[in-house]
Amino acid sequence: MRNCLDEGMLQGYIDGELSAASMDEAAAHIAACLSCADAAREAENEMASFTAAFAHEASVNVPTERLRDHIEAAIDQRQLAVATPAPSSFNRLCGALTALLTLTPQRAAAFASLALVITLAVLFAAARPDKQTPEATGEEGGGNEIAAVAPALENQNSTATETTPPFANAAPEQSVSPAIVSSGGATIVKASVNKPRGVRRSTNTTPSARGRETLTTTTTTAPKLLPGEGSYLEAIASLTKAIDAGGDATLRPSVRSEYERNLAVVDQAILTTRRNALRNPQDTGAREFLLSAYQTKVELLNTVADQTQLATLGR
Amino acid sequence: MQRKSLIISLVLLLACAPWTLVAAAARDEDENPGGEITRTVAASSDVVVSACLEAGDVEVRGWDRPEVRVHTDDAGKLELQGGAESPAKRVDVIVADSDDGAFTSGECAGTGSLELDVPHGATVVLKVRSGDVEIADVAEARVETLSGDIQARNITKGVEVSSISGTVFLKNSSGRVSLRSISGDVEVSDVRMSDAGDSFKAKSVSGDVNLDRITHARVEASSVSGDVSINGALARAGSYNIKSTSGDVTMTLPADSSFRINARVFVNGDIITDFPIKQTSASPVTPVSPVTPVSPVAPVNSSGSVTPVAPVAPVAPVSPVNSAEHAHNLRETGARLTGSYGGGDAELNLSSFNGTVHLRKKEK
Repeated sequence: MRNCLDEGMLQGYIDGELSAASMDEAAAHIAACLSCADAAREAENEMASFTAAFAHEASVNVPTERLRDHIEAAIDQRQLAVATPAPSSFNRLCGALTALLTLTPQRAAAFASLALVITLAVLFAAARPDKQTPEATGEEGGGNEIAAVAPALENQNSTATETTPPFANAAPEQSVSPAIVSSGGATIVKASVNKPRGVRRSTNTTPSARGRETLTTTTTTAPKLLPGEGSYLEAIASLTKAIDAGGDATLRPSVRSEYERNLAVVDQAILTTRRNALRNPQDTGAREFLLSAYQTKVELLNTVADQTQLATLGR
Repeated sequence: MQRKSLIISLVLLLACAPWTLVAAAARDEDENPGGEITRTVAASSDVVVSACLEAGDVEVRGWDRPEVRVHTDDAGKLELQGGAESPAKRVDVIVADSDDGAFTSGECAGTGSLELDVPHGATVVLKVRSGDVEIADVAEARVETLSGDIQARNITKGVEVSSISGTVFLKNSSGRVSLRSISGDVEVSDVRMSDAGDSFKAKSVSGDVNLDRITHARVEASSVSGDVSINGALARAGSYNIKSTSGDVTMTLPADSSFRINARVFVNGDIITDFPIKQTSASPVTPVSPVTPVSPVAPVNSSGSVTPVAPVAPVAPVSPVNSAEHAHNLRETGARLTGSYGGGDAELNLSSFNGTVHLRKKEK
């Protein structure tokens, strides 16, 4: 593939929608092409920011939150296990020796010196790989936690390393939302190392960045807004705030579930139509669908905000 | 002296008896031991009647009397606030849950089912958080429910209703129409304009929108994930904007219809038409074989096969061509179809982002 990737191909690559062969082909090209790598990073930033903008609605379900906690706990346990790989074999060895000693205590003195030598040898062997395992040092909290961060996209021309914000369900809401509300500026957020909120899709990481584990300040580029988007996003943020201020009790559980279900439907429509509008910037029909989806969301939020207000008055 | 006192007592008793009976009758109308309450107030023919409830079904009927009557058999307390005017121009129906409950206009904390009789020319404004609403034979209806169906019929001047999780029905009405349901369907039949400027709008997020015999000149209908269908004759010079994001759009028209069409599908859908459209633009065209059967399937050419349309310049509208090609049972993928049929009186804008657009010919 000599020519640069076109916008549709690039978006398809980022969304993981290409065939396996095309994915490999695109990945190889991006690895070798600076401009395409830059374009991929920019597109990833935009998509991640928009996905994060709707992460609030997507994350309100209790089971999802619980599931996320489970995943985080599992990750923590796994990191602990990786951090101390030697003790398991050491324990097994000690157990065997203990059993041997239990059966024949008379030989304890004879084996004691041998056990001591073996123990020291095992400890020594265990200590060496620890120095080479980043996860282990990260657990010690000595300031090297950054090693646990997922591979990041690296800007080859800068001394600092830019990383994309976490994708989809991995996005911390507070850090990304301002980037959505603002129409032009950039938002700088700190990489959340202690609480990695999910796993990045491997297809979302460009090959040029794979395997590079670096950490610095994460810079989130504000998404490029399509004409007409900004005002809708502001209205949505304002209405969402009003609804949240009312609290959960203002809507009956059945109505709330309907509201959240339909919000998810609309958000999905926004994401899908936005993707299409980005791919076809000259297509006014595609943009109209996007704006129509935004309008539907505003109306939905408006309806619920009205009801929330009524319920608050009735209390 | 005793006789005189007895006579006076009898006279007094006889004089008071009718009033005692009248008072007893009035109380019976207002309240009875079973908890039923009825309130009536004189009202103008175009009175505005409003009510707001936390929960309870509401039934509203138009009648010929110049008064508003409200009845409930399960609300704790009921009051009609009509202001100083008589007959009243505006009546607020206030419901409280218990006898000692305070009445506050504008609050929606009361619970109870209501039956309202109002003048035919009345405008009825209802907000019900949980409950079904039926409304008939009035001039205007503005209804909001959070969870509950809304049924309206024989409304003469205008309807504006919305529901979050209920279905919206509208039958045999006229005037301006705006119907919205979040997760319920919108079902409409036999609705007409009363003024030339009257518009018709129907919208749902995850429900279907089904419109039958709508004669408004401006019709907008949409759904995000549901299907949208319209069945019936087109208004002369009418404008129809019908869209669904992930559902299908279906328009079923009489064979003698006359329209210009601009149909779009964006991702995976098809455009399927029974009408031989005189095209001005169709792109990109993906001839599909075999065509999904569309009922009725009429042969196009002498061989009876489907005539795929040759690709025209992509996306950009093309000026009318002299050698017009006809799309009949055309099936396109991710494309647009622009053209006309008959004299081209009405304008159809049909689009589905990820669904199929059908233009069907109505069987006689």
